[in-house]
Amino acid sequence: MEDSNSYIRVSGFVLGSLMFQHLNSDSDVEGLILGETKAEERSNITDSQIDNIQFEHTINIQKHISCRKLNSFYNRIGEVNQDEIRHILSNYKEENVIGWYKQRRNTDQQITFREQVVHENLKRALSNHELIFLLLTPSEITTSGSTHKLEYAVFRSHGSQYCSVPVLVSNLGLLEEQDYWRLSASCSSVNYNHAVRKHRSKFFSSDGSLHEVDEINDMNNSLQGELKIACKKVEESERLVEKLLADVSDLRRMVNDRKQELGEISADGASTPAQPQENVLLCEVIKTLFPGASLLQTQALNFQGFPLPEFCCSTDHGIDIATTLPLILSHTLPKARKGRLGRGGGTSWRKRPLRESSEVPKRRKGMLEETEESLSVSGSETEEDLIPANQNGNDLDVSNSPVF
Amino acid sequence: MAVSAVHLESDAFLVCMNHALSTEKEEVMGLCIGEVDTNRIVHIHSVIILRGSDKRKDRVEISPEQLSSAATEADYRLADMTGRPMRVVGWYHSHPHITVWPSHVDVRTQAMYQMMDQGFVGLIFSCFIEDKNTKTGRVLYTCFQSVQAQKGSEYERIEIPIHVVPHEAIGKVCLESAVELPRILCQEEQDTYRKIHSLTHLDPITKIHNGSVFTKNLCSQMSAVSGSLLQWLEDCLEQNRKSIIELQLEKERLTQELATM
Repeated sequence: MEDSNSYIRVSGFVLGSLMFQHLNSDSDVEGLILGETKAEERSNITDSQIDNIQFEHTINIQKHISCRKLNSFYNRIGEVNQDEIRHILSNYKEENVIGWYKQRRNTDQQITFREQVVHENLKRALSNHELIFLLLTPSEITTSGSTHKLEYAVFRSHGSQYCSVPVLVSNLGLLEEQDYWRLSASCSSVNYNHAVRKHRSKFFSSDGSLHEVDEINDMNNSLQGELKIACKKVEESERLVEKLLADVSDLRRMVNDRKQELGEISADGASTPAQPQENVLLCEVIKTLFPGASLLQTQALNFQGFPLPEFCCSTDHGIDIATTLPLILSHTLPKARKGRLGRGGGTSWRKRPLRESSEVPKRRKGMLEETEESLSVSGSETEEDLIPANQNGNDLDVSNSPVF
Repeated sequence: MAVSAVHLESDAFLVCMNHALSTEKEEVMGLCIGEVDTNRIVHIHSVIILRGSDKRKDRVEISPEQLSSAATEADYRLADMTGRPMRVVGWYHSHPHITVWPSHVDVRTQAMYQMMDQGFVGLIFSCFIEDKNTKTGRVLYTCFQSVQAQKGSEYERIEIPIHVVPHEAIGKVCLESAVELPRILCQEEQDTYRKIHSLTHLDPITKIHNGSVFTKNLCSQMSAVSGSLLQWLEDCLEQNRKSIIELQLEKERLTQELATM
């Protein structure tokens, strides 16, 4: 019988470093994870089973490489850019990549569809079917902001299913600590004491300390020394990064200020505010082809992206479209009056006239469809053929463009 | 309320988190160094990792000597660097495998510290929590003070909003605090071993055994803490080297752009 167990191991320093990165960012962050995979097979024989094999699959997360910006190694549809991955990895090898991670605030601890697409494409790009996805989601759990939590989980795909793998944070507590003996076992055997005394000098130095203890203390001191050196180097590099970030920030501000100054000064040297230029030709064409269609003539949209009819241009630019753009009018209904097209629709596809801009969102799709239909009606039918006079209830004695 | 909010610098947060995640077998603790502004906001710029004076795994208490030593360090080291007077403004400790909320002992301990300093705050980091069903790990942190309960002589906790303030680079004091951890752990182990080894009634076999225990425990620390910390520092250095190159290129580009304008 075979059992399979998978675990992810990550040190507290790597987990802390990931949290640190996200805390210093005001948006989501993501990056690649490097590490190694180890598999171990254990055989257990019990009273009930002679052959019980356990597979233990451990994935060690050793470090993470953060991406400077989001969506850097994949596009909007989740396709992975291998060149960009190599650029992110720099000196690290692709085969050391065991996964990728994402950190997003105040969201569910669930892999999204887009992340799944990216994950599958990354698996193929890196030829790693055991690729993992680490998701970290920080959030506040009290309204006062006094208590916060960070949840983290690792996902791996099996076919179309994503399952989570347990994460173990490596720490001192995982390693068994043995207790010191404070009392010796009492043994009065002469031969026992003789054997111990015979080999004593191999373990103890002249001052009574143990060789092994001295050696391990020396090793530990060397390690502490390395830590101090590394700490000093990191500190120097952090100061340099800090200074460069400040310099770059200052330069960006100066460039922006300079651009603004230059933008406000026109070619003749006079200080004029930059104004968008109106396309008067387009304005006149729309007025000609769609008279009264304020939604098409407007030059303003609201925040939802819908046209605001009250911002139409009311200026007569004095352009005769029939003379300036005769080809546009040659595709319109033959009996169209000068500068105006008639109502181009039959009663069967006429809608209620639009009265308020608030109705726009619901009917926008319908309006666009009707516009296309009205433009395609040409040639054989005239407006008079399609709609009896005054049947639309319109008081104007000139024909109007299709009503939306 | 004496304190309106706590602003914890992200590099100080990093040191606290590294310390809390260093062991799931016992609660660890430290002191917060910083200043309080006129809006009663406590700004924590750095932390000092402490040795546990009470070796009970579920209790943390700071000895008066530790408080005094930390205050001195705050005065000399951090004040010297920032140019502003710094002091001990709070304490933090970890809750491995247990809820983030302070126990009644924690609340009483906090109340005691507040008798010395009304603005003293307490932070708790809860870690090594796992949802067995979803296999989701969890780390929580909270900030609190104590007030006298309306009924009786007991104390109850009040919530203090805490915000982690971005700090792009890791400060010198925080880096030095971070590498104190393996040194403190080693010192604790050496002190324990020295006391045991000095017992005169122990026979050679017992002493050899205790030497092996010391070696084993020190190896655990070197592997789980020192090694991981050194790995992280080397990764930081590598990341910074890449950042420095990119930032220098960006600086040159912007300088040229400015010159041509």
